[in-house]
Amino acid sequence: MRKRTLLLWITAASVAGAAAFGWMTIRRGFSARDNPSAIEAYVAETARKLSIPASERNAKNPFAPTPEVLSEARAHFADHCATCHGNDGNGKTDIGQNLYPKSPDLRRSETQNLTDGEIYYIIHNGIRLTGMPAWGRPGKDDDSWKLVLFIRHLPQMTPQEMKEMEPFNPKSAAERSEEEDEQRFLNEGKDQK
Amino acid sequence: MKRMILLLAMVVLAVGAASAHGKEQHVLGKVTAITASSITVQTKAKDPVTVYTMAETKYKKSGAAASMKDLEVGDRVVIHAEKMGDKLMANEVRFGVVAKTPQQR
Repeated sequence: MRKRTLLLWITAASVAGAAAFGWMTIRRGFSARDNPSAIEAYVAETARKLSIPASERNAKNPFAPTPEVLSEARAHFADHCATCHGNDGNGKTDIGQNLYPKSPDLRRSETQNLTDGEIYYIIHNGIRLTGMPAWGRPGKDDDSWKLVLFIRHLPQMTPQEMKEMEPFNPKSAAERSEEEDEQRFLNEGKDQK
Repeated sequence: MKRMILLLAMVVLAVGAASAHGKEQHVLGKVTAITASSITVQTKAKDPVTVYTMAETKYKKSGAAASMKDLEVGDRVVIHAEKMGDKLMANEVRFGVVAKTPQQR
Protein backbone atom coordinates (compact mmCIF):
# COMPACT_ATOMS: atom_id res chain seq x y z
CA MET A 1 0.00 0.00 0.00
CA ARG A 2 2.81 2.37 0.95
CA LYS A 3 4.58 1.54 -2.30
CA ARG A 4 1.44 2.27 -4.29
CA THR A 5 1.01 5.66 -2.59
CA LEU A 6 4.63 6.55 -3.25
CA LEU A 7 4.24 5.58 -6.91
CA LEU A 8 1.13 7.73 -7.16
CA TRP A 9 2.95 10.70 -5.65
CA ILE A 10 5.89 10.26 -8.05
CA THR A 11 3.54 10.02 -11.03
CA ALA A 12 1.58 13.09 -9.90
CA ALA A 13 4.80 15.05 -9.34
CA SER A 14 6.09 14.04 -12.78
CA VAL A 15 2.84 15.05 -14.50
CA ALA A 16 2.79 18.36 -12.58
CA GLY A 17 6.44 18.98 -13.49
CA ALA A 18 5.83 18.21 -17.16
CA ALA A 19 2.73 20.44 -17.16
CA ALA A 20 4.67 23.31 -15.53
CA PHE A 21 7.52 22.90 -18.03
CA GLY A 22 5.05 22.81 -20.92
CA TRP A 23 3.21 25.89 -19.64
CA MET A 24 6.45 27.84 -19.19
CA THR A 25 7.65 26.81 -22.66
CA ILE A 26 4.39 27.90 -24.29
CA ARG A 27 4.36 31.18 -22.32
CA ARG A 28 7.94 31.90 -23.40
CA GLY A 29 6.95 31.38 -27.05
CA PHE A 30 8.62 29.48 -29.85
CA SER A 31 11.25 30.91 -32.13
CA ALA A 32 13.12 29.30 -35.01
CA ARG A 33 16.14 31.31 -33.81
CA ASP A 34 16.63 28.89 -30.93
CA ASN A 35 18.71 25.74 -31.14
CA PRO A 36 16.86 22.46 -30.64
CA SER A 37 17.24 21.08 -27.12
CA ALA A 38 19.41 18.01 -26.58
CA ILE A 39 16.29 15.86 -26.27
CA GLU A 40 14.81 17.20 -29.51
CA ALA A 41 18.12 16.69 -31.33
CA TYR A 42 18.47 13.14 -30.02
CA VAL A 43 14.89 12.19 -30.93
CA ALA A 44 15.17 13.77 -34.40
CA GLU A 45 18.53 12.14 -35.17
CA THR A 46 17.32 8.75 -33.99
CA ALA A 47 14.11 9.05 -36.00
CA ARG A 48 16.10 10.03 -39.09
CA LYS A 49 18.46 7.07 -38.68
CA LEU A 50 15.57 4.66 -38.20
CA SER A 51 13.73 6.09 -41.20
CA ILE A 52 16.48 5.10 -43.65
CA PRO A 53 16.04 1.46 -44.72
CA ALA A 54 19.20 -0.68 -44.44
CA SER A 55 19.20 -1.41 -48.19
CA GLU A 56 19.26 2.35 -48.91
CA ARG A 57 21.87 3.01 -46.23
CA ASN A 58 24.29 0.57 -47.82
CA ALA A 59 23.58 1.61 -51.42
CA LYS A 60 26.69 2.31 -53.51
CA ASN A 61 27.18 5.46 -55.53
CA PRO A 62 26.97 4.55 -59.25
CA PHE A 63 29.22 7.52 -60.14
CA ALA A 64 32.95 8.09 -59.63
CA PRO A 65 34.28 11.50 -58.54
CA THR A 66 35.67 12.49 -61.96
CA PRO A 67 36.42 16.20 -62.60
CA GLU A 68 33.40 16.35 -64.98
CA VAL A 69 30.97 14.87 -62.46
CA LEU A 70 32.29 17.10 -59.66
CA SER A 71 32.06 20.20 -61.86
CA GLU A 72 28.44 19.39 -62.77
CA ALA A 73 27.53 18.71 -59.13
CA ARG A 74 29.28 21.91 -58.00
CA ALA A 75 27.11 24.03 -60.33
CA HIS A 76 24.02 22.10 -59.22
CA PHE A 77 24.86 22.62 -55.54
CA ALA A 78 25.44 26.36 -56.11
CA ASP A 79 22.08 26.66 -57.86
CA HIS A 80 19.90 24.46 -55.63
CA CYS A 81 21.59 23.98 -52.22
CA ALA A 82 23.83 26.99 -51.49
CA THR A 83 20.93 29.29 -50.57
CA CYS A 84 20.68 27.41 -47.27
CA HIS A 85 23.99 25.53 -47.05
CA GLY A 86 26.40 28.12 -48.54
CA ASN A 87 28.78 27.40 -51.42
CA ASP A 88 31.30 25.84 -49.05
CA GLY A 89 28.61 23.90 -47.16
CA ASN A 90 29.18 25.66 -43.83
CA GLY A 91 25.47 26.56 -43.50
CA LYS A 92 26.23 30.15 -42.50
CA THR A 93 23.61 31.79 -44.70
CA ASP A 94 20.70 34.10 -43.85
CA ILE A 95 18.19 31.32 -44.34
CA GLY A 96 20.34 28.42 -43.11
CA GLN A 97 21.04 30.04 -39.76
CA ASN A 98 17.39 30.88 -39.13
CA LEU A 99 15.91 27.48 -39.90
CA TYR A 100 14.87 25.13 -37.12
CA PRO A 101 17.04 23.15 -36.89
CA LYS A 102 19.79 25.28 -38.47
CA SER A 103 21.54 24.07 -41.64
CA PRO A 104 24.41 21.87 -40.49
CA ASP A 105 28.03 22.37 -41.50
CA LEU A 106 28.22 19.67 -44.17
CA ARG A 107 32.02 19.52 -43.89
CA ARG A 108 31.88 18.23 -40.33
CA SER A 109 31.93 14.64 -39.17
CA GLU A 110 28.17 14.58 -38.41
CA THR A 111 27.59 14.64 -42.18
CA GLN A 112 30.87 13.22 -43.49
CA ASN A 113 30.51 10.10 -41.30
CA LEU A 114 27.15 9.23 -42.89
CA THR A 115 27.28 6.58 -45.60
CA ASP A 116 26.88 7.58 -49.26
CA GLY A 117 23.49 5.88 -49.17
CA GLU A 118 22.37 7.90 -46.15
CA ILE A 119 23.40 11.22 -47.72
CA TYR A 120 21.68 10.25 -50.98
CA TYR A 121 18.52 9.26 -49.09
CA ILE A 122 18.43 12.60 -47.25
CA ILE A 123 18.82 14.60 -50.49
CA HIS A 124 16.32 12.48 -52.41
CA ASN A 125 13.68 12.20 -49.66
CA GLY A 126 14.29 15.30 -47.57
CA ILE A 127 13.85 15.36 -43.79
CA ARG A 128 10.37 15.83 -42.39
CA LEU A 129 9.71 18.80 -40.06
CA THR A 130 12.94 20.53 -41.11
CA GLY A 131 13.82 22.95 -43.93
CA MET A 132 15.26 20.09 -46.02
CA PRO A 133 12.98 19.30 -48.96
CA ALA A 134 13.02 16.15 -51.11
CA TRP A 135 14.83 16.83 -54.38
CA GLY A 136 14.48 15.26 -57.81
CA ARG A 137 11.81 12.97 -59.18
CA PRO A 138 10.73 9.81 -57.39
CA GLY A 139 12.78 6.82 -58.50
CA LYS A 140 16.30 6.87 -59.91
CA ASP A 141 17.99 10.19 -59.27
CA ASP A 142 21.45 10.58 -60.79
CA ASP A 143 21.77 14.24 -59.81
CA SER A 144 21.45 13.44 -56.10
CA TRP A 145 24.15 10.75 -56.35
CA LYS A 146 26.45 13.30 -58.00
CA LEU A 147 25.68 15.74 -55.17
CA VAL A 148 26.82 13.07 -52.70
CA LEU A 149 30.25 13.13 -54.39
CA PHE A 150 30.36 16.92 -54.16
CA ILE A 151 29.41 16.87 -50.47
CA ARG A 152 32.31 14.44 -49.90
CA HIS A 153 34.54 16.97 -51.67
CA LEU A 154 33.41 19.97 -49.57
CA PRO A 155 36.19 19.71 -46.93
CA GLN A 156 38.77 20.11 -49.74
CA MET A 157 37.12 23.05 -51.54
CA THR A 158 39.52 25.61 -53.01
CA PRO A 159 38.94 29.40 -53.27
CA GLN A 160 38.96 29.01 -57.06
CA GLU A 161 36.12 26.48 -56.89
CA MET A 162 34.18 28.81 -54.59
CA LYS A 163 34.58 31.63 -57.11
CA GLU A 164 33.40 29.41 -59.96
CA MET A 165 30.19 28.67 -58.04
CA GLU A 166 29.10 32.29 -57.58
CA PRO A 167 27.60 32.81 -61.07
CA PHE A 168 25.33 29.83 -60.43
CA ASN A 169 23.88 31.14 -57.15
CA PRO A 170 20.20 32.09 -57.57
CA LYS A 171 19.64 35.84 -57.90
CA SER A 172 16.77 38.00 -59.10
CA ALA A 173 17.10 40.05 -62.30
CA ALA A 174 17.20 43.21 -60.18
CA GLU A 175 20.03 41.87 -58.02
CA ARG A 176 22.05 40.85 -61.09
CA SER A 177 21.54 44.26 -62.67
CA GLU A 178 22.62 46.01 -59.46
CA GLU A 179 25.64 43.73 -59.20
CA GLU A 180 26.64 44.60 -62.77
CA ASP A 181 26.32 48.34 -62.03
CA GLU A 182 28.52 47.96 -58.96
CA GLN A 183 31.06 45.90 -60.89
CA ARG A 184 31.15 48.58 -63.60
CA PHE A 185 31.69 51.25 -60.92
CA LEU A 186 34.66 49.33 -59.48
CA ASN A 187 36.16 48.64 -62.91
CA GLU A 188 35.88 52.29 -63.96
CA GLY A 189 38.25 53.21 -61.18
CA LYS A 190 41.03 51.01 -62.59
CA ASP A 191 43.19 53.91 -63.80
CA GLN A 192 41.80 56.69 -61.63
CA LYS A 193 43.48 55.95 -58.33
CA MET B 1 9.72 18.39 -62.87
CA LYS B 2 6.86 20.75 -61.96
CA ARG B 3 7.56 20.15 -58.27
CA MET B 4 11.25 20.88 -58.82
CA ILE B 5 10.47 24.19 -60.58
CA LEU B 6 7.99 25.14 -57.84
CA LEU B 7 10.53 24.39 -55.10
CA LEU B 8 13.22 26.34 -56.91
CA ALA B 9 10.86 29.28 -57.39
CA MET B 10 10.02 29.20 -53.66
CA VAL B 11 13.71 29.19 -52.75
CA VAL B 12 14.47 32.09 -55.12
CA LEU B 13 11.53 34.09 -53.70
CA ALA B 14 12.72 33.30 -50.18
CA VAL B 15 16.19 34.65 -51.03
CA GLY B 16 14.68 37.87 -52.34
CA ALA B 17 12.54 38.22 -49.26
CA ALA B 18 15.45 37.50 -46.92
CA SER B 19 17.77 40.10 -48.43
CA ALA B 20 14.96 42.66 -48.63
CA HIS B 21 14.21 42.04 -44.96
CA GLY B 22 17.74 43.16 -44.04
CA LYS B 23 17.19 46.58 -45.68
CA GLU B 24 20.79 46.66 -46.86
CA GLN B 25 22.13 49.94 -48.11
CA HIS B 26 24.72 49.99 -50.88
CA VAL B 27 27.40 52.62 -50.43
CA LEU B 28 29.48 53.34 -53.55
CA GLY B 29 32.40 55.74 -53.64
CA LYS B 30 36.05 56.45 -52.95
CA VAL B 31 37.66 55.64 -49.61
CA THR B 32 38.84 58.82 -47.87
CA ALA B 33 39.72 57.42 -44.44
CA ILE B 34 40.22 54.08 -42.77
CA THR B 35 40.35 53.39 -39.04
CA ALA B 36 40.47 50.10 -37.18
CA SER B 37 36.69 49.97 -37.08
CA SER B 38 35.40 52.20 -39.85
CA ILE B 39 35.67 53.17 -43.49
CA THR B 40 34.74 56.65 -44.68
CA VAL B 41 33.57 56.89 -48.26
CA GLN B 42 33.11 59.92 -50.49
CA THR B 43 29.96 59.00 -52.39
CA LYS B 44 28.87 60.24 -55.80
CA ALA B 45 26.45 62.57 -54.04
CA LYS B 46 29.55 64.13 -52.41
CA ASP B 47 28.34 63.27 -48.92
CA PRO B 48 31.01 61.47 -46.90
CA VAL B 49 29.54 58.34 -45.35
CA THR B 50 31.17 56.44 -42.51
CA VAL B 51 30.49 52.73 -42.39
CA TYR B 52 31.54 50.70 -39.36
CA THR B 53 33.08 47.26 -39.67
CA MET B 54 32.34 44.18 -37.59
CA ALA B 55 34.06 40.87 -36.98
CA GLU B 56 31.57 39.31 -39.44
CA THR B 57 32.28 41.86 -42.22
CA LYS B 58 33.42 40.10 -45.38
CA TYR B 59 36.00 41.67 -47.67
CA LYS B 60 36.43 40.88 -51.35
CA LYS B 61 39.23 42.24 -53.51
CA SER B 62 38.74 41.56 -57.23
CA GLY B 63 36.23 38.85 -56.34
CA ALA B 64 38.56 36.96 -54.00
CA ALA B 65 38.45 36.85 -50.21
CA ALA B 66 40.53 39.66 -48.68
CA SER B 67 40.88 41.58 -45.44
CA MET B 68 40.57 45.20 -44.32
CA LYS B 69 44.36 45.52 -44.55
CA ASP B 70 44.08 45.16 -48.34
CA LEU B 71 41.90 48.26 -48.57
CA GLU B 72 43.62 51.62 -49.17
CA VAL B 73 42.61 55.27 -49.13
CA GLY B 74 41.68 56.21 -52.69
CA ASP B 75 40.23 52.78 -53.56
CA ARG B 76 36.83 52.63 -55.17
CA VAL B 77 34.60 50.61 -52.92
CA VAL B 78 31.13 49.07 -52.82
CA ILE B 79 29.86 48.45 -49.30
CA HIS B 80 26.69 46.53 -48.46
CA ALA B 81 25.68 47.77 -45.05
CA GLU B 82 22.84 47.55 -42.59
CA LYS B 83 21.55 50.29 -40.33
CA MET B 84 21.91 49.37 -36.66
CA GLY B 85 20.73 52.16 -34.43
CA ASP B 86 22.23 55.31 -35.94
CA LYS B 87 25.23 53.50 -37.42
CA LEU B 88 25.78 51.83 -40.77
CA MET B 89 27.40 48.44 -40.22
CA ALA B 90 29.20 46.77 -43.13
CA ASN B 91 28.18 43.26 -44.11
CA GLU B 92 30.38 43.15 -47.20
CA VAL B 93 33.11 45.40 -48.57
CA ARG B 94 34.08 44.93 -52.22
CA PHE B 95 36.92 46.64 -54.01
CA GLY B 96 39.38 46.06 -56.86
CA VAL B 97 38.75 45.39 -60.53
CA VAL B 98 36.59 42.36 -61.28
CA ALA B 99 36.95 40.48 -64.54
CA LYS B 100 33.60 39.33 -65.93
CA THR B 101 33.30 35.56 -65.88
CA PRO B 102 32.28 34.12 -69.26
CA GLN B 103 29.62 31.87 -67.67
CA GLN B 104 27.97 34.77 -65.80
CA ARG B 105 24.22 34.47 -66.33
